[in-house]
Amino acid sequence: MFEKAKAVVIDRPFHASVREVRLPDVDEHSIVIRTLYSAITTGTELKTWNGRTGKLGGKLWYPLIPGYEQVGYVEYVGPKAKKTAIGETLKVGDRVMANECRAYPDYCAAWGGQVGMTVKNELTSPGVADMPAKIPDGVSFEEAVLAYLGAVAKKGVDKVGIHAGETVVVIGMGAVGLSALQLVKLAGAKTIAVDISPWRVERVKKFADHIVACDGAKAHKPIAEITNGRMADVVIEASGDSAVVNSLCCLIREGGWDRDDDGGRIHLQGDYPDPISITQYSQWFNRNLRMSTSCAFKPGDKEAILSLIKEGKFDARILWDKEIPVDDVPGEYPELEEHHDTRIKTLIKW
Amino acid sequence: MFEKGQAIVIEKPRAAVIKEISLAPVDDETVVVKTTYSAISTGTEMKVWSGISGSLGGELWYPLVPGYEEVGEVVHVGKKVKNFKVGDRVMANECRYYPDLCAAWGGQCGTVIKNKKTSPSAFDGPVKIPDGISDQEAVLAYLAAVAHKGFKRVGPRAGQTIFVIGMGMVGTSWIQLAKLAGCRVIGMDLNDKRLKLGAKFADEVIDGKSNDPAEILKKMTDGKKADIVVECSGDPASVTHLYQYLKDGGWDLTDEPGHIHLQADYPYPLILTPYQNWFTKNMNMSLTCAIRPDGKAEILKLISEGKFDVKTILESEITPEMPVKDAQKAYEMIERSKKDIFKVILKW
Repeated sequence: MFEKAKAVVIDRPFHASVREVRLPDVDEHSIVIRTLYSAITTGTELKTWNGRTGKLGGKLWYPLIPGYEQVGYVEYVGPKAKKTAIGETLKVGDRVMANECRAYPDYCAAWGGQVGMTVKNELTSPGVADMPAKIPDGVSFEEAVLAYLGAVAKKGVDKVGIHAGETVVVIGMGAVGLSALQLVKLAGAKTIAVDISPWRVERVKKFADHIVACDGAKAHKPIAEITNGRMADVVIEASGDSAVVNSLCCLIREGGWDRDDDGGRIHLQGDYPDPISITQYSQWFNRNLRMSTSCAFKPGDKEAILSLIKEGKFDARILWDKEIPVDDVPGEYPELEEHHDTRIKTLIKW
Repeated sequence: MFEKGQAIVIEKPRAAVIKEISLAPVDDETVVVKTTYSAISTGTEMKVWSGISGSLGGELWYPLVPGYEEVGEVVHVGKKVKNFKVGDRVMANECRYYPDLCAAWGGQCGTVIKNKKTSPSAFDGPVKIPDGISDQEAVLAYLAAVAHKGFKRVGPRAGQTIFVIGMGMVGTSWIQLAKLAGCRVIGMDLNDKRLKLGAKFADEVIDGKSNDPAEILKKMTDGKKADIVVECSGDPASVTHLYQYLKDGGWDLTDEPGHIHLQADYPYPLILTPYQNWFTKNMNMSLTCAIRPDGKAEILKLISEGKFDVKTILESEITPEMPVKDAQKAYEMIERSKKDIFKVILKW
C-alpha cells in the first residue's frame, strides 16, 4: 500500500532527479504522511547536492535522498505507533510536520525528507525529537514547513540563554539565522543582524535594532560603532562560514574577570564544511568566553515554534521567497547556488 | 630607594640574563616585595623564553621580564596602604610595568613594585601567605588559582567524571579541586614522569601514548566517557581530539550535554574538524584566562587546611630548586627535558 513514492534523489554531486523510490517497510509502529509541501535549505541540503557536506562519520554516501522540512496529511497510523514528542496521539487526516526519514532500502537518507510519502517508525525516526508534530489550526502548511529550522534555531537560543537587554549579534540571515534573530528579539535582546548580502539584511530590518551588510569576518568595526566599542554579549553564528568563526572573538565584549561576570558567549549554529581554526589564542581566552554548539532540536521545539507562528510572534513567511512544483527541484539547486546572495529558500509544492 | 632591582631579563628568544633594571615608580599606594622564591612555569613562561608565545595584541616584545609565580617579604608600604605591613609574607606575582622593558609578566624580579600602575586588575593584588605555608609552597599557589578560576567557571558536581589532559601544575590542580568536589577524576599525559605524578592525585590515569586513549576512557566509564574534559596540556593537537572523550548528550530535555574547558595557552591554531563530530555533542565549551580576584586566597586557604597538596609536587624529583643566577641554565634544562621537568623553583 505504501511501497513506493516519488522522491528527490541526488545520484552524485550536482546530479539530482525526481523519481519513484522504494519506501521503508510500514509496520504496526509506523505513521505514514503524504507530503504537501517541503523546502530546499540553502545550507545543509545544498551541501549534499554540491558534495561539500561532511562524511558524517561514514553515514553520507550517494545516491541519497536529501531534505527534512516536509509537511502533510497523516495517511496511516499503525496500532502501536508512538505518540508525538509532547504526548499527542495522531490520527488519519491530521496535519503534521513529518521531517526526517532516516532509512531507505536503496538509498542513503540524508535526511530523507524530500519524498512524497514519509514512513515514520523506530527505524526511520528513532529519536523522540524525530516524531511528527501536529500543526495547529490557523497555521498553514507553507508556514509549518519553516518551523523545522525555527526549532533548530530555538535549541541554540535556549542553550545560549538570552537575557533581556543583552546585545546579541546574529550573523547569517538565512532561515536559521533569521529564526534565531526573531527568537532573540522576542527574548528582549538588543539585536544586530549581519549578513554579507545587502539583500538579506535589508529584508530583516523589522527584527533587528541594527543591520550590518558585511562579511561576518569583518564585522568588528561596524559593531564597535553601533555598541560604542563595548561589543556584543552574545554572538550567534549562522552563516556556516568557518572563516567567520575564526574571527568571532573580536566581536565579543571584554569580561570574565570578576566573580559575577561570566564573560560573553558564542553559539555556533551553522554547519561548517571547512575546519574551524581558533587563533590567536590570547585574543580568545583573554575574553574568558564560552562557546557552544547544538545539533538539530529538542523534543517539543517544533511544537513551540508552531505555537509562536499561531500567536503571530514568529514570522515564517519571511523565511522563503519562491515556490516551485516538485518536478522542478533538480533545476532549483543550481539556481539557489548561483543566486545565493539574493535568495533565502525555495518552497516545494508536491 | 627602590629605583633599581635585579631581574631575569629575556633579551631575545632563548637568551636570559640576570641584570639590574629600572623599576616602576613607588607611590603612596605601593607595596614593595623583596622576592624570596619564584618559579619557571613550563607552559607560558617557557613560550616567552623560546619565542613561540603569541603576540598578545602587540603587548609582547623583547627585551622582557618574564614570570608571575613569585613570593617574598614586604619591605616597604606606602602611606595609603592599609592591608599590608613590612614583614608580611605575600604572593606578589605579576608586575605589569617596567620603565625600559616589556613585562610579560614581570614577576621574575628581586624587588617587585605592586601598585595601580603595575597591578591594575582586581586579581593582581598581593595576598598574604598564612603561617604554616612555606614560601616555596605559596609559589605554586598561583597556577592552582588559574585552575580554580576554570573550575569555578565549569562548576563540576559530585559524581561527575572529569577527564583532565596535561599533568602540569594547572592540570594536577584541576584534579585536586575536582576530587575535593567529589568528582571521579581521570588524568592523561604523554610524559611518563608527569603521568606518575598525576597518578598520585587522580583516581585513574591513561597513558597518552596508548593506541586509543578514547577507547580506554570509554571502557573505564562503562561506555559513557567524560562529563567534563579539561585541556591543560597546551598542545593544539590535543584540542583537535577533545570531542572523542566527551559523553553524548543534549538531545532530550534531561540529558545534559558534555563540557570542554580549555585551560591552557595554545601557541598554534586550534583546529576543530570535522564539524559534525563536534556539533553532534551539543557541547558547551569555555575558556578562562588568569585567576579570579579571590583565587589566590582560596588556594592558600585550602593548602593551610590540608585540603590542597603542594608538598607532593615540591618533594618530587621533577620539581628541582635552583639559584636564580642559573635561570638561563634552568630554561635550557627545561626545554631539553621535553617535559620531564615539571617546574623549576628559583631561590633568590
